[in-house]
Amino acid sequence: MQDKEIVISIVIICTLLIIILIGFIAVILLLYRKKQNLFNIRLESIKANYDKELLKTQLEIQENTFQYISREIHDNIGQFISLAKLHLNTLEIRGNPHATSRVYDAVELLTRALDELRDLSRSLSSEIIRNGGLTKAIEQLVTQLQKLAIPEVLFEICGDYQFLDEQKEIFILRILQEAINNVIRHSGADRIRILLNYENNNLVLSIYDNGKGFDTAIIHHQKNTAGLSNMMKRAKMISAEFRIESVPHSGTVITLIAPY
Amino acid sequence: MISNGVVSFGLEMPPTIFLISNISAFVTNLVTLTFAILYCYRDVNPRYLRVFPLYLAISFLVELLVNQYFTLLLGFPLFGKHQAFARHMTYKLFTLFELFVFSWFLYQILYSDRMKKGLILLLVLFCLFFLWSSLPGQPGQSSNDLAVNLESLIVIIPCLVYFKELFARPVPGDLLREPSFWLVTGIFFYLATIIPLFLSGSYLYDRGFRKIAISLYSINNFALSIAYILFIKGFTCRIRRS
Repeated sequence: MQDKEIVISIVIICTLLIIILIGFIAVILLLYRKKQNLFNIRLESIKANYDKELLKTQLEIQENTFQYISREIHDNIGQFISLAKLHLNTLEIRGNPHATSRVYDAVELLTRALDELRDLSRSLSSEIIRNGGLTKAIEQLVTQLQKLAIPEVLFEICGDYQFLDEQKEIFILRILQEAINNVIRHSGADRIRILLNYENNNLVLSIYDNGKGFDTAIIHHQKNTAGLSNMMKRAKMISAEFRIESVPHSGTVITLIAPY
Repeated sequence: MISNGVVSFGLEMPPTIFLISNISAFVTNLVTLTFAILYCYRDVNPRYLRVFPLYLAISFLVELLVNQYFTLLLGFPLFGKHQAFARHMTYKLFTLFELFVFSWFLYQILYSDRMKKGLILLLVLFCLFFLWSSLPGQPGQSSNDLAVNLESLIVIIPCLVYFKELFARPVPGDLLREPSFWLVTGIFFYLATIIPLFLSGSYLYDRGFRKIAISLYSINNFALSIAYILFIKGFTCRIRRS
């Protein structure tokens, strides 16, 4: 072999070795990057599951607190008020018209307080979901709303009613309650329309109001949006899509799309 | 690492490519040593990096003092008429030193207890072989090739285990910032090229193809230069302070 041929051979072998080395390093780095990506995806999933579990626990605790308060109102405070009414009704004050009138007023006030407390107890309780399902619960809520100053509350159901998981229905009811609460407190609406639509394996709950509306951009900036944040959290818990569409002075539409 | 462990060559000037490769390995050794001194003693560095400046310094000194072609080229055989013997002994001892340095480094970075125990056992066996081969009449008396090949085999195994462990880690880190990855890759690459080159080189040399055999060893020197470059990458990794 001539010198030149030897040099060429060595250069070729060295080049091949370098290519093999670069290839080796590149393959290891690529495979490792793939492993890193898989790890990151798994980590994200674990984190998401953890967050979901945490949220679920928080909401369960909140729900239990609601049940406890509801029971307390019904069993204790309600009983005391009823007892107070009974005592007032049995007072011997026939000869004193002024006292009779005052007692009558007091009994009236207590009756109203009792009604209010019963409504509150019912709205906090999820008993009705267990017994009558979501539509019964919404009907009860509408009845309570109709007692308030809002002149018009409409409730419509479209599609065939589907029984959802009890927990899911409770969450939907809580979202609706929160939405109605916001309408009453902030919108100044005189008309609320609740539409429950069962279509394409989805429950679509829409709440329309003709109130003053708002700029939806504030949802992301304003800190005082605990109610909205609660609704979003609950929607996330049941893997539902939650949307708010609003234009200032043109009312608001809240839409919840929950798969069943 | 030494640029050439073959001591049975004659003392005539080698082909130019071999000289170039020797100079390349020598210069990269010096550059890597400089980087090692500058980077290996940083507080954030893992402990195992601290052995590399010493290792590179000794490697550099060995080349400087006993490399047969450098001494021939520069005309200062330090050990006079005993130069050949001194070279042979130095390379032999350096092989043992290098094996222990690499083994210690790999021992530090490996997780597998079984591999660690296996490595210790292999080192003991190597030492026994080393002693036996140094006895009069044994092959180690005239050539260091077998010891170098065995050293390569012993070090390559834990290197492969390291790569396996890399992918078995529960939490994958950033390889670009991990010195051990670049160091192991450098060692693995260099030692993996040694075995076929030394075997084929010896074969060709024994059959009279001296020029080709010597030229073939220049591949080994170039591989060594590349390994040093990977070492530099390992030393200069930007390790996060945790």
